[in-house]
Amino acid sequence: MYSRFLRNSGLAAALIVSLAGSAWAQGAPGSTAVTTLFPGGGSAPPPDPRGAQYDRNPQAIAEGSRLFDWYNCSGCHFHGAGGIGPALMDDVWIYGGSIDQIYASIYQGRPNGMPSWAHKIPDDKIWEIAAYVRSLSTATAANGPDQPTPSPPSPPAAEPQQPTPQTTGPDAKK
Amino acid sequence: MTRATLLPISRRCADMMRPAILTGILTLALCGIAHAQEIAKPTPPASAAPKDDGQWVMAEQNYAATRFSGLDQINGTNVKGLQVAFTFSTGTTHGEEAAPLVVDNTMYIVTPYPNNLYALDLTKPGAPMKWEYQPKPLPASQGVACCDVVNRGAAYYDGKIFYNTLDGMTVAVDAKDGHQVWRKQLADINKGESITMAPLVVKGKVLVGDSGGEFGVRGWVQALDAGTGDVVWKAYSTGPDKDVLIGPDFHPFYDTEKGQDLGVKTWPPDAWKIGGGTMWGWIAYDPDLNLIYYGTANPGPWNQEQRPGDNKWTAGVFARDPDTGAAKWFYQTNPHDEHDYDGINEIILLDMPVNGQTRKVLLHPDRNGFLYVLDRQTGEALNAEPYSTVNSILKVDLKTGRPVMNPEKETKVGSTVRDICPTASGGKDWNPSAYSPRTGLLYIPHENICMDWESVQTNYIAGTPYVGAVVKMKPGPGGNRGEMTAWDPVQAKPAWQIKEDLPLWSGALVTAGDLVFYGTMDGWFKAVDAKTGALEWQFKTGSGIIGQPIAYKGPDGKEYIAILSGVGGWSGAIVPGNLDPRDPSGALGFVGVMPDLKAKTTAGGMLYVFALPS
Repeated sequence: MYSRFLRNSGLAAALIVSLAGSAWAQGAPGSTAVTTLFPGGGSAPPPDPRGAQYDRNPQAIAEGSRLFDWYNCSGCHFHGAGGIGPALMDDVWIYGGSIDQIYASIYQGRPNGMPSWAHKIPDDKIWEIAAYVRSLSTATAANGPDQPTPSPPSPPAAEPQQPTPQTTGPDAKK
Repeated sequence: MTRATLLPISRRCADMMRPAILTGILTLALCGIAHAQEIAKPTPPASAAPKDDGQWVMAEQNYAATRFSGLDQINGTNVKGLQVAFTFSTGTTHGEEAAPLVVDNTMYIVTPYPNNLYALDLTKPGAPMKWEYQPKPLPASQGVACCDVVNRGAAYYDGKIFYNTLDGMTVAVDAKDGHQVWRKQLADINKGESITMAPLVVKGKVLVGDSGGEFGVRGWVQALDAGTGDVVWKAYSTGPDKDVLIGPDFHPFYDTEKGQDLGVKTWPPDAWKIGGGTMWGWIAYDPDLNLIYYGTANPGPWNQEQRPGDNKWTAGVFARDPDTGAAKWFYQTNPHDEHDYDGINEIILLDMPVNGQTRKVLLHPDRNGFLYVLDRQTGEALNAEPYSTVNSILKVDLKTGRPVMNPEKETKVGSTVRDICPTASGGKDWNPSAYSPRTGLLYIPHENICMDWESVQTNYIAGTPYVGAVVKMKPGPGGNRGEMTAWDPVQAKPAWQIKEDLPLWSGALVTAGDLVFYGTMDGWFKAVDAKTGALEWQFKTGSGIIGQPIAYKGPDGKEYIAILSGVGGWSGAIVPGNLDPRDPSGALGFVGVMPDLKAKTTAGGMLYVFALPS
């Protein structure tokens, strides 16, 4: 068991290093807002179109569930109750509960202890984790999408990113 | 109302017999002597516990860590009249674990993150604020605090207040005007290190240890020059002897602690570098022997299969020279810990009769549920009896010094081991006991909680949790989650016990008025008779209590009792963190045993100070 641990963690570290600078180079959250307050009027920017293919996608949620443990998300948020980090299974979203807002929180980190994972987790896997996190919430389950009302469609700042197929990564532990 | 039940005075000696026949005979023999004649009560060494001057200059009250106040104005005849003298809001909503300090008619209180320091003028009505000091720790440090963003208090020495910040600094603040004298960055949050403990100042050195045992850090204690903040020595808890400051003066009592570089050899290759052994608890100091004593925390990760070996020097007690840091002896309470039984709990120094001889001992109620009596000169275990419900350890073998583990409660990957007692947070956690030389009893505020544990493989990613266990806690036998036990260290048995519904996470105070003060997690602050445990007085504060009560003499010559109210900490994290009780594994398993706490108290820090009416 000990040798398996070393092999796995060593492999994970190597993958993290090798993937740096490639998969997420253009993955930065675009104009995702974490507020619902717009002085003088206005509204939230349109949702990040990259989120659609992951949101409520059972395969993405299942994969995200596994990654949630793999990257130690469960070390702080446990399996929804929270602990070091906030609860994820309740109906409270500090920085927004739409999939692109959750993606942005994971990617950028948040000031009160949420680390930035932009350079540790490949972009498509952040989306899968976001899909899983969103699926945990009772608000999502009970009320459907809680995305702020989008403003009229406008061209997105960047082309949707197609997730890079990962033939390695955490899957290698199996 | 809280549910608290007082057990009949003292269990019979025979009830305390251990399964081991030899131990049972010894216990009976001691009991027989006790009944026949009064045994001299253990006393702390005078050099470590000088006569109380009515101040409170360190969290533990004195170097012997007795938390005994010599004041007796408030006692059993008048305590029912105790009333609020003044209050002060700390402005935070996290767990208030700190002890207030009282020096030169000024009270100092440290808040949880953001670790503000307040000075209150006790000479004026209502104790107005003299000044406030804000260290402004990094907000991100909240993400590497395993168990709420607590702080356990400050220490006063030579005109300065010393304390630690969550983001890993030690600060020295001028006690008169609140200006910062120096600050020293000791921990790195990007490695998962933080600091929550109350420092102790010994011989002009500020002793500080780190937190982060759930983040794969490498534990240490450092001594800083009180005048400048310069590091005088640093002793790691793992790694080669030179890093642990193990040299020619190291003479452990037991053979299993002898050998070269055991801090490397008792680990898989390199695992000691992320193996924990932090020091976020209490330090005691014996000026006569010139030794400091402290316990080291759990090895990491919690999944024991990832670190075969004894995992030295985690989960045990060190004696060190305070001048150089050189280790004198070590005693491992939990070799190869597999239940998160940290060794950081309080250490009380007493001179105590053992088998007809007065021995220099230390008392250590460990997380594993056993009350250890160690010879503090040699590290020999003289006695170890359970003060709490224990089934993970069958007994402590005094010949080898090692616990005899119950194979049925060993944790492993791939299966859930049920009903392990005590739970990960222990028979007791950090919240310190108090000892009265008047009654000869140690007042132990503790828990009665068990757990289910499933180990899982975990990855090390610096700055994130490194645990590898899914834990779900549950009330122990009887259903009460907390207990206040008055322990007779000579007879190694309880004199009386109070059952509490909620776990006890507050420290204890005992006074020369023969009153024991402690708080409950739903906000009751209580005074009980030190001899019998009878409830004498209680007051409902605004939030749950997990702080450390103190007593002091005010400028008017009156006795005052102070406590910080404000629920949180590991056990209370569900309230300030607004955690969701539907996932019992939350907060490292504590959510599962505290689903009702949100309905019993709300967050909010407040200082309460009590006095008798004029």
